[in-house]
Amino acid sequence: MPNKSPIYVWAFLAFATLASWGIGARDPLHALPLLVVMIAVIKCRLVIRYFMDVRHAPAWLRYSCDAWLLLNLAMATSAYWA
Amino acid sequence: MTVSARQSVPGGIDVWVFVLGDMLIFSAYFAAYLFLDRAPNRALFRESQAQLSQGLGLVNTLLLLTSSLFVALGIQAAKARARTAAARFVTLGAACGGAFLLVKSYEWTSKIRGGFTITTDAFFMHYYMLTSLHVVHVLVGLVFLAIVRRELRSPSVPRLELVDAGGVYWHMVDFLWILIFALLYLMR
Repeated sequence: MPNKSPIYVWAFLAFATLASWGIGARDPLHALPLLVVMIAVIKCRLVIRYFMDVRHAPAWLRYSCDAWLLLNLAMATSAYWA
Repeated sequence: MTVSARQSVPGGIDVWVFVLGDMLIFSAYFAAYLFLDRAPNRALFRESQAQLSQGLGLVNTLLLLTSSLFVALGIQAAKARARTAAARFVTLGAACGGAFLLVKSYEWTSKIRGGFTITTDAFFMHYYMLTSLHVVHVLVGLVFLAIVRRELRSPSVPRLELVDAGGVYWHMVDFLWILIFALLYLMR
């Protein structure tokens, strides 16, 4: 196989999924739901950058995807602290 | 306008018009969930959220992540001209997508049998609306994967941008679910 990086990315994503599920399954302390959403945003960014190959895309597309991720993170953060 | 080979839009601009539009639509749904309905009903949402099976959500997340891995490997193989391997990977990816739909159907059925329907409360309205909307995207994605697979198995040289575009749409289906899983199932 020429390039193994999709497998490494997947392995990290699977680990992060299990970690955030483990966190979510317990009674959360105040910071834990926020941690869950941060992990989700990091996972999305990995899928976008590596699986979708956006890391090699023009700057406008990279920034748009990052902006969308930040928007969702900001919404979840402010909803959590409201 | 010319772009260097290193900076091309993966799958072409057309699929990204779709994808970026979909991303904004889902964010609007997330905003409605978080600010319109959850904010004034936090206790209710917490109670109703507890009815969801995080285990099933976990299984579904792992299924879509694995399907994305297969599709990514398939696109990679297609670019390396290994068309048979590419078609096989895409089939595996689609199979995981099909499994996602089966688990989702089971989850909905068991919720409905438990008395939790779309009219139960505001949380469940959002739950069914968001997951249904996502399922529609999974179905569309499976159609695209079928088109990609046919392209890879046809006797002529496969159009790589078409193959790439199908992959891009499928990965979007995956990462949208990652956020839905976090917001609906895990974040309390």
